[in-house]
Amino acid sequence: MMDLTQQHEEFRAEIREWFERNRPERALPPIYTQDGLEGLREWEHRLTRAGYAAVGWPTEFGGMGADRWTQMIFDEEYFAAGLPQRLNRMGLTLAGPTIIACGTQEQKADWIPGILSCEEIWCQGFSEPGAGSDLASLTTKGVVDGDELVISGTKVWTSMGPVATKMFALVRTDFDAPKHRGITWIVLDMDTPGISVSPLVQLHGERGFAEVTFDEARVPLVNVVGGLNNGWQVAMTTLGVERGTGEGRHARLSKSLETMTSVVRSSGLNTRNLERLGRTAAWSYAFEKSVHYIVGSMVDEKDAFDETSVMKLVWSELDHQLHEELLSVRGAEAEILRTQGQHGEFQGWQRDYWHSRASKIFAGTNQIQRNIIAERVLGLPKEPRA
Amino acid sequence: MTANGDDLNALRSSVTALFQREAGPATLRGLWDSETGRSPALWKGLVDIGITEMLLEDDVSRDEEMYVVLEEVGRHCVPDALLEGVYLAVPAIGSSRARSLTEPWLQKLINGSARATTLLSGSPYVADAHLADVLLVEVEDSFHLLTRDEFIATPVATMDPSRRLSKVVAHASEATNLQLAPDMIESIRQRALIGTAAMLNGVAHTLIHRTLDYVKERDQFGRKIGSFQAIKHLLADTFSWVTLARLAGQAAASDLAKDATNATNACLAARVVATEAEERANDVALQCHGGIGFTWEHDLQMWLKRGKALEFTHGTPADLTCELGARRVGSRQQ
Repeated sequence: MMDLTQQHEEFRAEIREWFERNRPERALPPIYTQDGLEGLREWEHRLTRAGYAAVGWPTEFGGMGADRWTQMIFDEEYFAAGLPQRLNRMGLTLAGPTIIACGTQEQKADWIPGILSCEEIWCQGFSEPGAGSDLASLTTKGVVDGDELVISGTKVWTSMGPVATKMFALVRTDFDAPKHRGITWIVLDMDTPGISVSPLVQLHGERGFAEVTFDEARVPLVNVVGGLNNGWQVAMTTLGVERGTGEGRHARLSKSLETMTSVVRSSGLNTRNLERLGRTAAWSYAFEKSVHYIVGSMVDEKDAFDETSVMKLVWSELDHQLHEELLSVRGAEAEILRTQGQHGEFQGWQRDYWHSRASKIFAGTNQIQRNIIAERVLGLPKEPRA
Repeated sequence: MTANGDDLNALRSSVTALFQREAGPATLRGLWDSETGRSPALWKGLVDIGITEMLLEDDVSRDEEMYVVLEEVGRHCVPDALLEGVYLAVPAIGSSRARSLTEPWLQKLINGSARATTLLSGSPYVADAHLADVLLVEVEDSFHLLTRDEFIATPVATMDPSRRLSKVVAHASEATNLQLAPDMIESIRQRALIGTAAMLNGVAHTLIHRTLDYVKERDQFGRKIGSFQAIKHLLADTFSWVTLARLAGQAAASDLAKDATNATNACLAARVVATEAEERANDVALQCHGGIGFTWEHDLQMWLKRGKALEFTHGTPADLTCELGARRVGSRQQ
């Protein structure tokens, strides 16, 4: 159970006050506008100068070397303050930790500082048109030619694709090996000749998504992390990085619950809406306490349970349920767009509603999570495979 | 301020050992047709472990300890009304300033020679009133202690053959008022919520685990049925919600023990999620057992029926979610 030390509470007060004094003065325009990008970059610079850019990273890489409680407190306060989504989140949560865990000294020296400074914005090239849930069936090809890897294929649903300058990607370098074994984890510059980026508009009108095609793009072999054909292992090491704190998902859920509370308070104090709110509040409490339990058991190095898939599943289902209830409270008003972004994108809870639908798909669909829970946590027999 | 994890584990082990010895499914079936429906050996075992005594001490960990005991009650489908008879009644009676009322009973309640039960406002039936020597009864924001000649208990038949409920007519007067402090009255309500949540979480745990055992054994279409995604996904979902509900229950018991300002909301939340998670487990358990689970002979019925009974005990899901929603709307900072 959560019994935070004096030190943790002091950090909470410190970071809360710092956010209050240093937060962007105005709401920032979307990331894919010049203004938005510059505003976010400036915000990231403030975080970096104060030492808050990556609280959980070791100090030698510019982090605070903070424990998981501290990371969790940072996330809680970040979302409670309603601050902008992190510009380099793919670098902070995935690329950076993977390179720190599996990269060479040169790779760390070359790439890590640029993540914190946002000199390089990172994106992930994993999914392909034919490799979604079955990620390991990916077919983007990498052929060794001298000291280069020549890459051809297509990556899709690439978040941050239109603004990113670097990508970490999975490519198939051995077509004869079993499918998990012939994959390589590699870093590439997005301006490499042969790479083209087509922005995709998401269904709630937001930009920032892309399809990325590779036509014999030549990438230095020294950019391979963890060795040729070892990419699946490398990708798996990062899956556990966000364990427990889950990028403050519980804090985001609490924030959405606050929105729902004020909507119910202002527009629908009837029994049905109070029931909807009570039910949502109850599960939000349960989720938050589960995060605290898991973080606590990790700090104390006690066994909890293999929670990664359970927490992804329940969080995304709760996020969706909450926003579904919110729509019900609004009733006929739900479909009316009172504000829209400059490209017609949805904003506020209407954007969040559709985003909650995406939560059940990204980072491993919930059907895949259920398979993992059933087989790895509950010990049910594996599906016979074709 | 929180209870020591090792102490809680030791308590869980002794309670589990007792229940395995004295409350196995065959024993419980044997009690269905007995006059009281209760096992003296089980009751003595509980008193020997010290669950009545530990509640009397104004110990910060007693709520966490009782959470563990009641979760095990649910897991083993123990029929005794330990929530109403011990968890709600003993600390309340022990804290009363009306010594002349409580003095004759306190020692007997601790050593197990007398039994209590509790009637809360809004509850139409009382558990184990048929063998209660004293009744704690809520009357308009106060609690009274009535002896056998001051209440009439009329047993009613229940779906769950282990439960013994009665309609009770109580004759409270100014002379029977325990004059409980307001925070003790609030505690009784919180404990009714978290205690019910603990039992529901225990029932859900067993429903899931018995079902997992079954689907790993049962063959259809030449495969273990647990290898089909249709079964896996039901169980993965239900296991996940039950896990969340259990962690919420432990956290709320800890909030209650720490006397946190939000303890009532925490207990309400824990109760709401426990009910919902158990309801899913109840549905999925029978569905995955199929026809074999729909027989009187199969022990699954014990947990199925206990679960259904508890879902509507000390507050219905609709009332409790509505109450929690109203409390959230009522204050800006929760």
